Amino acid sequence: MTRDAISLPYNPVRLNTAPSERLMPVDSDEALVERAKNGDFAAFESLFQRHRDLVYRFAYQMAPRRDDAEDMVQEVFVRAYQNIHRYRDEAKFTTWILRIATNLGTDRARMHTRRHNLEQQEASGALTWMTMGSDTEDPIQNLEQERMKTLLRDAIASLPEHHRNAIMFRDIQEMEYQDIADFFNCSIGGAKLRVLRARRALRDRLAPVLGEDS
Amino acid sequence: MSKRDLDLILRTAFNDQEDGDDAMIKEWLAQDQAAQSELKNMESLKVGLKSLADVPECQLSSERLREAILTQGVKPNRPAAYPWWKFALPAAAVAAVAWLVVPNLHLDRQPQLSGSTAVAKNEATIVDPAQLNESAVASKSDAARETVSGLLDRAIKPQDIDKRPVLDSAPTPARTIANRRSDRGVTRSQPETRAINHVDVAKLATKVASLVTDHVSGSIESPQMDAPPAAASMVANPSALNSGRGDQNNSRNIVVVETQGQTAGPPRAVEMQNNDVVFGG
Repeated sequence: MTRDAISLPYNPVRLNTAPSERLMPVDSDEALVERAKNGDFAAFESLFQRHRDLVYRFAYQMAPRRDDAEDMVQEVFVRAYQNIHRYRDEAKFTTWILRIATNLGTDRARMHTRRHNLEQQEASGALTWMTMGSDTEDPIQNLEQERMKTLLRDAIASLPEHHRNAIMFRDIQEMEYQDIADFFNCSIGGAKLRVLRARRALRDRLAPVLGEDS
Repeated sequence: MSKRDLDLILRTAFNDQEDGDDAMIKEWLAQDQAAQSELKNMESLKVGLKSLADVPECQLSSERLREAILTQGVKPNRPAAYPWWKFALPAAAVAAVAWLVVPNLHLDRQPQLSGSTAVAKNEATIVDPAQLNESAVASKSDAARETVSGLLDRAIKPQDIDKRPVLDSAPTPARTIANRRSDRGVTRSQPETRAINHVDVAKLATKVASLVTDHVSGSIESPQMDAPPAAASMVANPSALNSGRGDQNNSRNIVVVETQGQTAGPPRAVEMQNNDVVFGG
């Protein structure tokens, strides 16, 4: 799976007009949502195919197992279909669907004691950032990399929700600051500040381990 | 390390530098080893976070999603703009008010008899209901209309009665009729007549016939009447007839309507000599 930045095949225009009055592309998210509201399930399927990977990458951070992540993605889109009539065109569809995903992920994160697991692994000294590199064929190194990923996910999961989302949006999914601002309903400067604070918080979580290694 | 310095290092590591950050960081890194170490740690963190984006390929298909939606119950895409119960309550209230206000919701299906006819006390049923049934009369056939109107016209003289049934649908205006019995010339206005249905006409015919037969002497050929005599609803004024008798030619014939009983047949008109008819006074 590529890690390219999320690029949209179109440039949706946000206008303060009713959806029926806009001239929007036929295959735009807004047009598909309008058709889905009118009972066109094929339009909703198109939305699903278009944004499935985005939601999946987000869900995988919350539930780092493919089956669990797929279940979460399924649940997210089922909720989206059931509440499609509540979608308002003030926000982008991706923002709306990610909000559903974050709410669902928050519920699942509360069920786990990730902070406890992180503290245990810190005590064992398993966090060695300086030796982490690209994937190699060395099974031991690969195993080490997998452990690092697990620790990092646990650290992210232990963050407050707004910090966790900021990290996942910017540093994992490489979303633009404009989209992050839409999600948090703030300005671009405010989104940058949120991301900066989230990185600082994550760094503080990993500081005991990072400091020992350095 | 201060928060400001840490933010500068984070912006540098994650390529979110602002204006002036490049100059500051280069100068700072040249002098501070701790800053260099911290910058390396943050760059490793960035690489680690990027590696988290490498996830197994999602194998969730649209068919599986469709099945999940159908299994969990699909809610209507377009919810009711207005809850149904908000329509039901006002409708029920209106219906209840209408039921209370309107006194006669159950309409009376019985036909209303039109016509201003005076009914005698001993009014009985129609002598021959089989022949004068409502359906035959209500059919408003020209033959039936002509038969009944002809009987009435020949049996009762228009100038001697106060009321005369008419078959016209439009009510005739009232007109003044001179009173022949008195020299005072009291003007009596003929009351406004209304169109009556054929049932009334038939009843009138039978009543007249029975009234006549009740007062006819034995010289009149009158068949045995099975039905009780029906009082006349519209009857010739006996006084007028009596008074008129002296003014008329005794050889003048009159037409009497005879009823044949319930099973004998329809009433028939019989022309008789004036002297043979005796009216009670």
